[in-house]
Amino acid sequence: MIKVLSGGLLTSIQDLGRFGYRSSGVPLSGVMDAVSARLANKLMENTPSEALMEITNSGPVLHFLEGAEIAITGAAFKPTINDIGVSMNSRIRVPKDGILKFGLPDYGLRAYLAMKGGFSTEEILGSRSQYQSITKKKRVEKGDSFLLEPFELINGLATASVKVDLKHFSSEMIEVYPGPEFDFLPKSFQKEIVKKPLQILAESNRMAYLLKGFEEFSANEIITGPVQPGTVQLTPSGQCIVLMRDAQTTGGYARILQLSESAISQLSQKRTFEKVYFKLI
Amino acid sequence: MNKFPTYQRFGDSAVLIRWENEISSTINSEVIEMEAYVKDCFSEEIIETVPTYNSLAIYLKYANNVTSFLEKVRSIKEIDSNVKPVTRYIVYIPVCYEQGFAMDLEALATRHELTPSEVVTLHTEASYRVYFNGFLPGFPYLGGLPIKLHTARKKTPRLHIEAGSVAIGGGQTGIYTIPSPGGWNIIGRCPLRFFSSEITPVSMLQAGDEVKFIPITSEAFKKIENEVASNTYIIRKELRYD
Repeated sequence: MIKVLSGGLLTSIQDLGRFGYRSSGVPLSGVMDAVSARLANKLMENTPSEALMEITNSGPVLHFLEGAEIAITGAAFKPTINDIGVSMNSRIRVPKDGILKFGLPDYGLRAYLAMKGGFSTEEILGSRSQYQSITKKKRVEKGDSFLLEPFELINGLATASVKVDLKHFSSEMIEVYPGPEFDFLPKSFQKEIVKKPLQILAESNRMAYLLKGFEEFSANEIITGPVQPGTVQLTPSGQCIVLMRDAQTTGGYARILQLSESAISQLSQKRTFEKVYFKLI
Repeated sequence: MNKFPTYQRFGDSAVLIRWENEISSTINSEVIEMEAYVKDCFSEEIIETVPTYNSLAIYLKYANNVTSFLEKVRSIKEIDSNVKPVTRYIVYIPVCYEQGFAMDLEALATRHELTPSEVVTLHTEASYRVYFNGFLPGFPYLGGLPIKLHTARKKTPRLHIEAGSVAIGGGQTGIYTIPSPGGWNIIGRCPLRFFSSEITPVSMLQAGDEVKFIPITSEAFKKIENEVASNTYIIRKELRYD
């Protein structure tokens, strides 16, 4: 069993999302950075859909009551087990009574902790992704505990590791398609929008990222229509909103751009004040 | 040739079909028919669909080729009448408009120079079309609110609105299906459950259904609330023919 000694800033259990219920207004949810999450599951030889722990900016403190094998990917945290540094992006072994801490990341914002067989928390509507009003718990908190799959020592030390593409964290370029309302924007807007430097605002969260830099632009509201993670909305007052994994399923602001799937993962690793710009595919 | 609907890519793995830019039950019916049709014809390629007033998002399985899917839906000339028709209902929803459940009823009535009971009569006489679900799990976008009841949203949204609250926001009326913050004017409360992950379908109302509100007393509210809790309440529904 793993016991949570401290929940960290925003820790939650996530898988690839809750598909099939969007027409009932149920958000997709799921891991913010699917690229890093897949890597963690891969290291553990899990299927890509196993649930992981998503860790945001300041990590939790976890007490392993049994030995386990885990992998941590994503933002460059400096994890320690019983105060001894362990590697990111590789399979690591936690001894019985090991205390895992994360510290703060050097770059990136979110990390993923995978364990063999995934986190077996409650599955609601085909997904374990925690979301307020759908799952009983909306986040991981102090006092929570998670079952570990029986762990077998196979062939001595765990050694698997992967090399991470650093561009996933450092690149400021966010790849986008034109959105449903792109063609309705004035031609001059269309040209400028895809090269303007934008800054991540502090209000950004799992539902949406708010970006600064589009104040001179604006778009009329639309008749409420479908939106999805990665939809870039422009409000009448020039606010730029990039919807993320916990976003609502429909919305009434102009959908000017649509991030590619990998661009959503990339953006989810950006912190407040970091800069990005859009580039049309 | 009619230029609607239009078909376009919506990101890596989705397609958006759009009809005329207006809110009308005729257009919404076309959206819902198209939804049933593409789900029937291309079920292998589709993860899920989301209909709204005048558009339909089709989310495709990941490895799917959006360009070739666009070709396929573009070539749909007319909806094959052999496709199973969409079954829709008139759903009767009990609402208690009494004080305690209707925080904004009096103020709203005063604004329109009506009495609270006139507001209730207007609200319950009309019937409302469910255009689609969105905003919150199970939240129905209802059309058909009498113009006399159109009321601007509150300047300061409430931080907590009880599940089941029946409200008016601008030209729309709706039901808060789960507890939520919100800025609509609360005029009553319904004891039914509009969303549950344990029931199929998860949302009580489906796009294309029609809603009628039935006024009930606070005693009836408590009785129905208990019946809902013990799963003995039967929602009154009639098949819709149109």
